Amino acid sequence: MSERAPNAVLEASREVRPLRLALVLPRFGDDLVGGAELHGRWLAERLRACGHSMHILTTCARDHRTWRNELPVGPSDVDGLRVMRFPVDRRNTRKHADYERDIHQGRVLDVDEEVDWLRNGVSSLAMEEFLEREADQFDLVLGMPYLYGITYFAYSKVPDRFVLVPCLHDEPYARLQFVGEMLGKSRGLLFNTAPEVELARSLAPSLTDWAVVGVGFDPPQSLDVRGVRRRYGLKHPYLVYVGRREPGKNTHLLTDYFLRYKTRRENDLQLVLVGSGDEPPESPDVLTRIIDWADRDAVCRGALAFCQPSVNESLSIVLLQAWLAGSPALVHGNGSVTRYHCERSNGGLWFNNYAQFEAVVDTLSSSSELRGALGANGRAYVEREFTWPVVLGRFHDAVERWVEAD
Amino acid sequence: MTEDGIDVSRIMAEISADVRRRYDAGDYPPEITAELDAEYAAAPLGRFERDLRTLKGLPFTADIEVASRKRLVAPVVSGAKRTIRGSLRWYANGLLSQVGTLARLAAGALEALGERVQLLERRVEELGGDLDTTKREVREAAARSDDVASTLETFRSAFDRAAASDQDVELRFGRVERAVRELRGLDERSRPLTESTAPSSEVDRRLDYLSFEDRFRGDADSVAAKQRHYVSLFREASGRVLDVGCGRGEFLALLAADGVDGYGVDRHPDMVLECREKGLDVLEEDAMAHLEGLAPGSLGGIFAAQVLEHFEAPDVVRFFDLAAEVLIEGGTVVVETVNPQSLFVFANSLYLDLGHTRPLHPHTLQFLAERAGLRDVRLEYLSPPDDDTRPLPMPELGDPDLNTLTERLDENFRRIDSIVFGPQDYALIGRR
Repeated sequence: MSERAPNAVLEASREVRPLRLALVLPRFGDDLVGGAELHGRWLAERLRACGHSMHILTTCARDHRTWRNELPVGPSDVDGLRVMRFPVDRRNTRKHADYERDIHQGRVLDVDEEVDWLRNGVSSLAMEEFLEREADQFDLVLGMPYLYGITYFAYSKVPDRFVLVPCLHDEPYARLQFVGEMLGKSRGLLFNTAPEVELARSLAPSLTDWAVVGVGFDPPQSLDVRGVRRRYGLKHPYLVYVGRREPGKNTHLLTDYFLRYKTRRENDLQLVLVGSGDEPPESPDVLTRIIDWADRDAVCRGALAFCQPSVNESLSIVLLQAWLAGSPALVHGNGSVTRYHCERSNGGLWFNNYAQFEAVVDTLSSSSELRGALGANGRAYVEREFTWPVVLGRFHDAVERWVEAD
Repeated sequence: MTEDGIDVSRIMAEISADVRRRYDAGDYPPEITAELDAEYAAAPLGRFERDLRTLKGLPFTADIEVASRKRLVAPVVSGAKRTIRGSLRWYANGLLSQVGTLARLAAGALEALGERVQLLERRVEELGGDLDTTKREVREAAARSDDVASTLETFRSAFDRAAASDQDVELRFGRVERAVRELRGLDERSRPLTESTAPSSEVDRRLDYLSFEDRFRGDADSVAAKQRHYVSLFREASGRVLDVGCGRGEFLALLAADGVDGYGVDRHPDMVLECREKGLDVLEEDAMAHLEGLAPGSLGGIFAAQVLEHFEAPDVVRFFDLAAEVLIEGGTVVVETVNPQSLFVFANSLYLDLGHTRPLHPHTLQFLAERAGLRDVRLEYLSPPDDDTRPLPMPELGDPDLNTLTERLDENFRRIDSIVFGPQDYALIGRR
């Protein structure tokens, strides 16, 4: 499964001073489609297209669970981006797991323990040495997401030129002390949404200079709904979810609610789960599909609604892409960011319990007019807030401030 | 709410209210009700109300059944019970009365509590709705404040960029100040004339002199060309040279280019700003007030071109007195003004400028200068009208008689020419 930002050559929206930028990412590669990885790669491609010199500083790892060094150390060229890979340091996974358990059980770690946890998560002394030695090569060093040792140790080497793209969501890790430190002492912060700023404010005594920037999207290339219905055997009305199926994404709740819904409603509605991950319960009404990524927008467009049950999103790229395809949204009411998007766009509804899920699905099923209006509102919202010229405009407003302050 | 009337918060409020109605009506199966119980955190009031009804309907009586189911001994047992019941009736009735009162009071209190609980639940629900609305409004406000913050940042960044160059800021500030003054000027120009104000200065104040000069006096280069010859008079000045009514600063620029230390005064803010934008040292002040404030012998030279004709007569007299006083020994004064000996100027420059009070005769000024104690006072006549506006000589006709006539005619025209088409300006030059 591979996805690339279409129209990689940006129509320059304004004159920008070329900057020497580095982007620190724990993983980088064509085949990595996690939110932060996509976000980072798209941003890097667009910034390079704006004329900035763009270096990706990343590790040799491909798997975010093992962090095994699989890719060769050193410089390489990935689609025109200069990529420097550094080896992941040896990790004590047992120690790391112990800390993880402590964090989830609410034990307060002291600063040294936090650093120890980060060191045994994913870090690279080679990258840190490089940053320390070559810091002057870069006007700014961007790093994302907040959670990894790779990010924190890069920050600690060059705090004055470090711009954190935190991709925060409310979870026990976010309340660790190193997060507050980065939020307060980096040169700048680039958030994805206003609720993320609210969350950050609750985590740090004071925030350093920040801006809400997010990531941009191009309009869908093709919306051949009939074609995808035929190709993927989608004969009946369906709700769709796109992404990994895992507890962190709350997909189990979605399948549970949907199957309960089917026991109480005699209709032919189906749930289509696009992507890989945990297998859902056997049911003729729950379909799993691996699709050609180019068909994603049409699959969303053809759906009764795009479902995003996750409550741990800092942006939700897939939701915004589904809106751009014109699909109405159905999100979990406890997902502060996704609900914020719905309220701000008037492009989606939400549920907090099964009864609401049932009532909302009934409401959406019964009115194509409502679905059309929600989808159109969602698309208008993304076009207004998250197209590349808008996003890059916000990015440049912010970083020019931070570079000029030197 | 969007233009198409979709308001998802309203839709969700309606859906939530519908769910609540169905929950209250018992439409959901137990597992959904249980989930909603937790959601609403409400006690099952239905059971409470049922029990309360039972409590209120309980018959409190001493007439306890005395019949016995034990057939053989039934008559004996029933009889004994009846006897006990009868003998304890007074006691039982007393207790029953108390229990009945207790039950009535308890039922009443529980009923009241139930009503209060329902009231509170409704209120909590309303507050929950209000809270959702407030949260949404706060989020919207936060989003708006982000926009404001972002706009402020844009301003700040623009300001920071401007601040990178002091000169740049000075210029931008000057332009803003000028715009403000223009607005203020509009206001002043609309103010009625006051009797106490001298007409000429009122005109000066109300007229947009910068625009006026730009249009009628010629561009800065042509003015500079006319004034360039005065520079040599100040080259040896042993003190600062004051340009009185310096206007757009043409002469100050010439002085500066020649290394002469000069400064100006002008009462037109636009002129002052224009000069400052050129980097010239100019004060916004009334010329006479400025001269009166100077210490004796403090100036190396005074230059006043096309200024004194704006003054009231007493100020013209006072000007020379002050000039003589504030100039250093040997300091030069140059006064250039319209020449009233040329009738041509009456048809042109003199009345073009509404700020002109009166033309000043060269001999008058010479008198005033000399009277004030200035030395080597001389007059230089300048700016003859263009030849193509003046009378042409008669052609040679070849006939001696006719030539005599044409010579006479030429002579007459010369006389008229000298009066009508005399030099338009003159300069008075003197030394202390």
